[in-house]
Amino acid sequence: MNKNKTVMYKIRTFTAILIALVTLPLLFACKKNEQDKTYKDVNRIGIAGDPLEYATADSLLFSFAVYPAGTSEAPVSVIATIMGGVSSSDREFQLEIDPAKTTAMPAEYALPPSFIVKAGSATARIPVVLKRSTRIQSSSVKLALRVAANANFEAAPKSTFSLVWTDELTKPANWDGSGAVGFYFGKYSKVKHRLIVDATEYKNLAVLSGLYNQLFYIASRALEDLTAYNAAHPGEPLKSEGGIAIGICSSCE
Amino acid sequence: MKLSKYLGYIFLLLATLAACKKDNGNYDYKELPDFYIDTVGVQKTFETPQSIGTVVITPKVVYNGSESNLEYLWRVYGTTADTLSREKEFRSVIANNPGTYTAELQVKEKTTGIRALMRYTIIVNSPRPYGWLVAYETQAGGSTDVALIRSTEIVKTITTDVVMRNIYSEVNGGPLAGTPVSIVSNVSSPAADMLFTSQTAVRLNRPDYKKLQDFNQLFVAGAPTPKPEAVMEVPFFGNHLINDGEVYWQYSGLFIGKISVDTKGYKAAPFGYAIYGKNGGFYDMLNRRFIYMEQQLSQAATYASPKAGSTARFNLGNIGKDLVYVGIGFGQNGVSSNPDTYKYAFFEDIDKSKRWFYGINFTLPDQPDLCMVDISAMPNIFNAKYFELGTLGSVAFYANDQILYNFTYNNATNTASTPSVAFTAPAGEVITSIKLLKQPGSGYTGTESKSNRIMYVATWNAATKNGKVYLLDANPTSGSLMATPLKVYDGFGKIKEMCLKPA
Repeated sequence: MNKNKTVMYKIRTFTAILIALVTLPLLFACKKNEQDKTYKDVNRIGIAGDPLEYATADSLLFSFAVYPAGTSEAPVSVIATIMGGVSSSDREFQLEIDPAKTTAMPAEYALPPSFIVKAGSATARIPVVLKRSTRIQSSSVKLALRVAANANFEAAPKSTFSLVWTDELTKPANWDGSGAVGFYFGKYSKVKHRLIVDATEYKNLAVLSGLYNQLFYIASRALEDLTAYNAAHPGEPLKSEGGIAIGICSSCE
Repeated sequence: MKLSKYLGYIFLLLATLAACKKDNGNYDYKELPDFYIDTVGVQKTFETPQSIGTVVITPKVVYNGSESNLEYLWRVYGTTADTLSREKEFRSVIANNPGTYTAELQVKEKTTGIRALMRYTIIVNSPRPYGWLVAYETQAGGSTDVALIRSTEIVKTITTDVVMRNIYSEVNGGPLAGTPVSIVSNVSSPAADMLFTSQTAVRLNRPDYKKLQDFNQLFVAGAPTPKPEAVMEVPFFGNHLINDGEVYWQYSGLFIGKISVDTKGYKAAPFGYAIYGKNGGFYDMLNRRFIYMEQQLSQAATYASPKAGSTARFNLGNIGKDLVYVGIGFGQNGVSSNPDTYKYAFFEDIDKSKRWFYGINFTLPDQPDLCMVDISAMPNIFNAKYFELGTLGSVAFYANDQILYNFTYNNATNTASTPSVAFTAPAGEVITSIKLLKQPGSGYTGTESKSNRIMYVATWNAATKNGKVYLLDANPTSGSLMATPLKVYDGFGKIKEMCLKPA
């Protein structure tokens, strides 16, 4: 009997604690929650690339190699985004080139003369023109931009962005192996890759795995161009960088 | 305790009594009008040929309100539901491919939203079945139309002949621009019905002949300026196109790209043929040589010269003559089941002094010559325009404007027989096409096979603007034709191409 009383007591105590645990937070819930939505920091601005141009978090890699030989420059974008409220007037901001990280010559790119966030806008698209110089056929160059503080904006946490461009052809990852595009063209060489890229409007072989008709079509047009080249250069057929005359077929050099 | 027990009973009792109260809802009862679709003694199944002929269904809607209060919706169910009409009486051409479809009528009473439903069965038949297709330049000229001839001679199941004229314009709103170049109907590998003219090409829906794809849509990309000259029908590999002397190979129903040969270039003659295991072959008129196409490859190849010491009478890589015609003929030594039946060609010397008949085995480039016969002495051979080869006997045909000749050849003795006159066009008519039936015919199996037993000869009378088709009984082994035609059909334009529609 005594033992039962002790058990009863324990149950009651436990119940009381439970009720308290449930009730106390309910009481605290009555406190008014005050949130301050206004931006208190100074106006800042950050820069990034455009995902539609395949920019990554800190840089944009651009290759002229998959563009026709006649393409001498390419427009790309850097997007500036403000921190803080929008303004009713245009605001200029400052970008500077980081000389320590930049390898591009001034003649190899073009930046607009000034950078402005338009009135009522939170972002600004900065058009940058990348130029195809001969030296990038075997290397890549880099333009590193960073925000410099001015009267309107300080630098945001993400305030640097790099543009990297080259004219080098790189062997597409799907040239060999599963879904191989190499089946349609034969052995890889940069000369052959250039021929293929110039032949049609299809530039990026990396996205063409499994599209037999398109690949056959590209191969057909590339072969047409190759045959025309070889006919125009008797005894001097188009050769790979290894010095072997190329062809367009599964087993071709 | 007792009191609460009684209170409990009283409560229960009250609750039970309350249930007896009449439930006066807050809605109104209305008399619905008499509204349904009467099905008694009504035709519920309708049959129609696809895309031609109108299906008329008059539903018997019973409704004691105003007709203007009803909305109609006709739909047909296949894999998807298509709205056909919003009128009470259904009157429509059914464009769905052959099959059995359910048509549903939904009548909606606008004030109440109540619907009455009725379902009908519509059986769509192929309007263009097995038969002989002829493509002709329309009587007006400059455009192409097609007729389908179903003769009892090639369709065993029918008792009277059926001729369907202008089947292209009937469903496509008009004839196809340009004069006929080729008409193709393959049931498999690749299954395609196509019509090629001097100005364009179209892919057609087999059952009703509606246009599916136009010239540009037949190419993966980069379609050339249309100037079709011939179609190379290569079973399994495709119907390759010869366009302005260039060959475009086909893959999975689309033209892929141009065939390249070498730096010498080429100009394809308007003929093509199958080669075992290859994408096909053609003749390069520019360099007077044969070319073969490998499977799935734009790079075509040339034939090397026969090995030293070869006794071959000609070199596939350097024929040195102008091609007049090449096609598939009879297999060597009577082996007609040879997977790569032999090719026979008519050539003319560059100085036009002689014409030749060549038998060619493309699988043996070192010894390709089955025969090489000088046929210059054959009557009217120099103005022959139309050629045909038998596939069940060593038989060949040629025709000029008026006369169709047949002759036999012998590879072993390298000779050809003196041609016989097989058909003479009646006065006023000129021959415009000759073609042998090379399929058994529908329902004609085994010994009844009509293969090589029917010769179609098309003629054109320019004065009366009347195109005719003569159906002639042919002997597969001698090539002789019965003098009296089995059938004559007329009322066409100027026929230039013919082929079997096998389904």
